[in-house]
Amino acid sequence: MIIRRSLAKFSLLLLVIFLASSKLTYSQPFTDTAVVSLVNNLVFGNVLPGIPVTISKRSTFAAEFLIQGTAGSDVFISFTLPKYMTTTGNYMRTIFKTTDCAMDSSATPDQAAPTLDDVSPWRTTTYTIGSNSELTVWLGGTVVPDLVQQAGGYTADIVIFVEPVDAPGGP
Amino acid sequence: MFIKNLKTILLTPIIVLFISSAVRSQEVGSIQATATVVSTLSISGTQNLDFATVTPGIVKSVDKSTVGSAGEFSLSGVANSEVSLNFTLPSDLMAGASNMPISFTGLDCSWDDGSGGGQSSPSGAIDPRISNNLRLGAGGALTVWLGGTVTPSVAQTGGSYTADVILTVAYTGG
Repeated sequence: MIIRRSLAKFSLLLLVIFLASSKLTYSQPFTDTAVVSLVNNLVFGNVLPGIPVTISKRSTFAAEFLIQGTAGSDVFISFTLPKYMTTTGNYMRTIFKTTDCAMDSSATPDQAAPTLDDVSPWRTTTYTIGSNSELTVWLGGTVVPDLVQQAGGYTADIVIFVEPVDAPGGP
Repeated sequence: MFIKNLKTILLTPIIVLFISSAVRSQEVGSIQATATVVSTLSISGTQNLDFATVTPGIVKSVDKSTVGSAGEFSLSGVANSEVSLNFTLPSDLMAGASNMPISFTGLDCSWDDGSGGGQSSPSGAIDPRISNNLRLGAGGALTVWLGGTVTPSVAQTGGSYTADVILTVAYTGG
């Protein structure tokens, strides 16, 4: 009985020590976690039926993301891209080319001359967060309306995933 | 039993720890792609090209400015948008197996985008035999008139002769 009680006390002590230490190690991945801010939507504006519209990654209408994290650390960047934009009951085709994305991790991000250009948004890209702890990502695209495309406001979600290279479970 | 429970107690935080740290290390952001599709271009034939009664052997023309006889098409769409216009013109009017030649010249078509005075004093003229680009007016409308000439033979068979005149329009994006 005494042995069991002692064993229980010892186990609880171990558990407390473990939880305390695990809390410390748990905070480590947090410091490497990047934060994504959404700066601009990808805006195609008015679209005429039958006339495709392309928004360049250089355009002010391009999508723009701001990634903030540890300066000099590498991150994996990937997207989930829509194949269609939708309005109630109607679809409009979207196209993202393998050069539609650009990134810049310099202190003064330049959309016209980014430090990493012609990036494929269909692939996971590894890039380094800049010395100012920031990385800017731009994305262009194309919509292809039918000749009889139904009028209306069309939308689609573009999702970006950012993950520290040394994160557990990384690509 | 106690030892088994102890193992469970000790292992559970470890598993939870690994799962949670793996999930929380990834950041996800979402934005929207947005577009507004404007109204589809529409066209309707609002007046047939009507030569009325034709006498065998006598060439007859209908001028594009003749109200009620010249062909008329009405377009509507996005104001000030450029559209392409392409006519498919017949070479003959038909009445059963009989045919009567019809012809069009480069002066047989006129248009008004609202800036002119209508059919009698339109905004401009185009050659209906070739492709043309015009802009819809500030009100999103454009009206097109078409004249033509039929050439019945001296022995033209009596009857009611018809043929389709097709106007195809599309936004150019310009």
